[in-house]
Amino acid sequence: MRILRKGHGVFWSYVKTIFRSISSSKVYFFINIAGLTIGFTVFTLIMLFVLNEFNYDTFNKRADRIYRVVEIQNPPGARVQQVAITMPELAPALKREFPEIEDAARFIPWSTALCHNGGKRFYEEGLFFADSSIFKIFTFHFVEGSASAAFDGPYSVVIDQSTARKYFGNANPIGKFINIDADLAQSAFQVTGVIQDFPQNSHLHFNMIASLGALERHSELFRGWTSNDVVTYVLLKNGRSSDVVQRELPRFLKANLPQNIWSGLKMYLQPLGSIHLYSGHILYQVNYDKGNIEHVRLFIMIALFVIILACINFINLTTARSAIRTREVGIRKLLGSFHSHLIYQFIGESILLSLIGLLISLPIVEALLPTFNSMMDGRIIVSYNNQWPFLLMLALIAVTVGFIAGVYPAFYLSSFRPVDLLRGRFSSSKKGILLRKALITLQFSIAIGLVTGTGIVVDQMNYIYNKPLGFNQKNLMYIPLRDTESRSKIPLISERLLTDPRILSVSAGELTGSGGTQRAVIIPETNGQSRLIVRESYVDYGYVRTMGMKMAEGRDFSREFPSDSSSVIINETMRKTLGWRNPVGKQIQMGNGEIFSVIGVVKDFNYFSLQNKIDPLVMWLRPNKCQYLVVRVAPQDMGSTTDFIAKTWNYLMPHQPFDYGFLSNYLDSQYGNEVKNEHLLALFSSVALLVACLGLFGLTLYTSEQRTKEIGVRKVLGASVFSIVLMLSKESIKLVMIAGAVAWPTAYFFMTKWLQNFEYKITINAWVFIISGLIVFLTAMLTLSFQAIKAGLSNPVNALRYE
Amino acid sequence: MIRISNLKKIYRTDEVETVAVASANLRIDSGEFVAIMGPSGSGKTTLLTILGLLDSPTEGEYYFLGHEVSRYSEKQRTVLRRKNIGFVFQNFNLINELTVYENIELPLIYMGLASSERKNMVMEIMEKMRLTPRRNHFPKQLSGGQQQRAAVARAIVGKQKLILADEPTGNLDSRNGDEVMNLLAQLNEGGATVVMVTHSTEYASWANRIVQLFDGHVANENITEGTRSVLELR
Repeated sequence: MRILRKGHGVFWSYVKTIFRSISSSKVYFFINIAGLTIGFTVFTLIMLFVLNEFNYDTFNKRADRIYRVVEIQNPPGARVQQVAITMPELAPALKREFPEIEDAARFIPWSTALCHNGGKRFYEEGLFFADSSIFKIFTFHFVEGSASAAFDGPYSVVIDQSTARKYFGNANPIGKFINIDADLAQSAFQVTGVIQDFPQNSHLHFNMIASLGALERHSELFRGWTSNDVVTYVLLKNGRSSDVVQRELPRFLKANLPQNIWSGLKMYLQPLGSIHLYSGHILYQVNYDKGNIEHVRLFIMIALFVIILACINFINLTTARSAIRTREVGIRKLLGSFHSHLIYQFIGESILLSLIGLLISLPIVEALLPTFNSMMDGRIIVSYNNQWPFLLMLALIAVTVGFIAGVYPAFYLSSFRPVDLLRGRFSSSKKGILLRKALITLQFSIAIGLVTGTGIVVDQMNYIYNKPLGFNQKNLMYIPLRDTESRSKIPLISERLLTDPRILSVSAGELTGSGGTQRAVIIPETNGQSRLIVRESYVDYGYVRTMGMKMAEGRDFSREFPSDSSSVIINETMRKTLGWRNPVGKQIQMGNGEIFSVIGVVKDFNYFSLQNKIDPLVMWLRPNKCQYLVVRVAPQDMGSTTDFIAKTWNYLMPHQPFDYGFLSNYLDSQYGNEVKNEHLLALFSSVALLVACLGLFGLTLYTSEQRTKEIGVRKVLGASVFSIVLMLSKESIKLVMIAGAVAWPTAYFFMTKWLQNFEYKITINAWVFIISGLIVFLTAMLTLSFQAIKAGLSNPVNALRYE
Repeated sequence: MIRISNLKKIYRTDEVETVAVASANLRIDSGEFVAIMGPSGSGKTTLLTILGLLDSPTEGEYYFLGHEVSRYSEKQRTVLRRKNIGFVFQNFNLINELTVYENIELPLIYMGLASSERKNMVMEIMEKMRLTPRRNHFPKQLSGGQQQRAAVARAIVGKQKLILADEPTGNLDSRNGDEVMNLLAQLNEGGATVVMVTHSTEYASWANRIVQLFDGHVANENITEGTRSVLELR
């Protein structure tokens, strides 16, 4: 009891001293708090983002038992690639043959389909076809209907609440019909269930799930082991390990797969939890706003850096100004305080400051969150129902930060002996000064490192943007072709459009930047029996010309050659892969025996993002399979040109609303994530630099306060303002330069590693280092000189009067 | 109360060895008022830090209240100091962030007394020292004399038996200096032992005994006429 009372009294005495010493040194308090507040603001924002990234798909109750099947394709003559699509027969076979597997489901994403009921027509982007087992594997919340009865009939559809409202308003949609004009299954689907909108943090995003049975009825494509278009998910039984399944997969594949098509194919089970962040290398995946673990790591690193910088400010300012506190330490020890009490006091003080910083940062985070979230595609969901664990975590981190920042100053300050009170010795020790210098150097190393890193990222991104893609994305409009009718009208639409001189050229085919290209197995003439997997692209006459691609040899498809329907165009990479000197006139054979002859070689162009290499590609003249009408327009008067195209379309295709886009915008959206990350990186680097400069400002302020008398004497003796500024800044300039020497090689090392993620990359330019060094150096100089010039300009009489 | 024999204090740095106190012998009884004098560097302050249990001697014996304390740990010294020794300094050494009341209360907090008990003791001593109207002032708002009165109040609030004063009048004008000396004399009359380092022969003469230090030795001990009557001064 006695001890408790004593602790109580001591505690309040400390708290009083802390608050009163804060009010007597407002500038330093402000610098410390500002640094910590900025640190926690950045940290909290980043942590919200990071936690959200790690929480993807975890809302599924059986998340730890759900896996996606990924294929590792390794066909002869082509590069290894991983794809998240499989054969239609895989899911039922897995369920049949593996006792570990509780259930398996097939999932087919449908690119845009026109859906309508009565008067309402919409293009639906989020239409999927799936097995009914999907409702057992993933967690759905049925508002109407039930999981078990969802797909009782072959033409059933389950829709989410937003979609239900869109088509049926407030009426109950159960039993009503939605017409889906999906190529292979144009039919009326009966609504059998309404589910709550799927959470944002899911790798899958959809509004409608229609019964896969409907597709099976219409097409062979969704049966057997030859096609490869469906996503397969499996649910393991409770307590069963995926390892057992993985081990047995090779045997299973050998027994089931037709080896002539799938030689070298392997598969593995990818845990649901790793789909969002660890799938960058997997192609053909339905993965809504794909995450990137590298980015997540980068952001965690930045968050830690900013906090470290704020801690260093605290340590430096506290130890530098220790003389002010040492008298208090001495007196307390003299009056009977133990060394340990004082250590607790100072650590407590630093924890208190840290918590104040956190407290101030919270409303700032709240205010910044919408902006930050829109930069992150609205990915961050702050649930206010269970924010306590997060707040508790932040508080714990603030306490840890306070402890780390406070522990050295605490031992340093509390080590002053009361004997010194009698002797009047309060100068800071050499050791303290050395440590301070080391910490400033570390701070500026981090700042320079971040600025250099940002410079390299910006450089790389500019390079990617400006790298010729092999086609001309400017002034190219695309219009989706969604059904057989629109494809059959390509010649008619083209003819009408070309009557306007502002329309330069019209064709149909793929959007080259996209991953929409298909794959085919071919037998090239000279390779005898060996097979080659190539990417295939379905195009119409004049595609190469309209897209602004260049022919290396031969010619584009043309109406003047009726035989072109059994001809192909290949790309340069394919010619190289086959080692053909004169490819024009050579023949290739399809898996089904059909023979095509090569009429031209198109120069390589990038159809995926520039992070991927170009693979062999074959273009077929298949207007009836083309996904987009591509229209090259004159750059002038785009508005009225668009109006003209819309009018023409609406006249010829009255049942399909006009929908269009421009290729350049589409490509920009492909690099959207990288652009956002680049912006954020630049933003956070600036914040880090700001925090470092805050500390430098505080130290300069302190130094010039300490040296007021010296400055006064020097000025009386005739020192110039410049020489005073130089005297006060010299040391810091030296430290910033050492920091550069530390930061540059480190940044070089890590950025070289980062660049390896890209297939096409810059060589790191020395200028990036010089410029980043200069930016940090000049910012530091600006910070220093503000205080130094003020000191230099001060009237020496005032300085000396203090004595 | 205090007995030191063959006490030695040597400060060592990398290159230099400084003998601050070389073989000092001294005895101070309870209730004495002793003034320590001597030129700068004679070891006065060092002796005071050892007597005040702020530092331990390099060699020799130090009996304080019957305990041999020369080999006490810092913690043991702190516990002993807390209860028995009060300090008064030339530059007052009050904590600027605490009020007069809180400064005086501080040693009682470290002694672990309850807040009501502390309050009574602090109010009593403040009344005695005529500081009650200043109780919520901060040190910087007080005159030098008032600050030193507060420091003296802090030194004795816990009924400390030994008051160590290091040049207590050094920063005061003569009127305030006399007042502080008067306070120390009063305390001494009340039974406290007072040991005071001073340069002033005039104030030294207030003591029962003057100890002269020279080069770390006790050079001379004079018995003075004794404490002047407090009344006489007024």
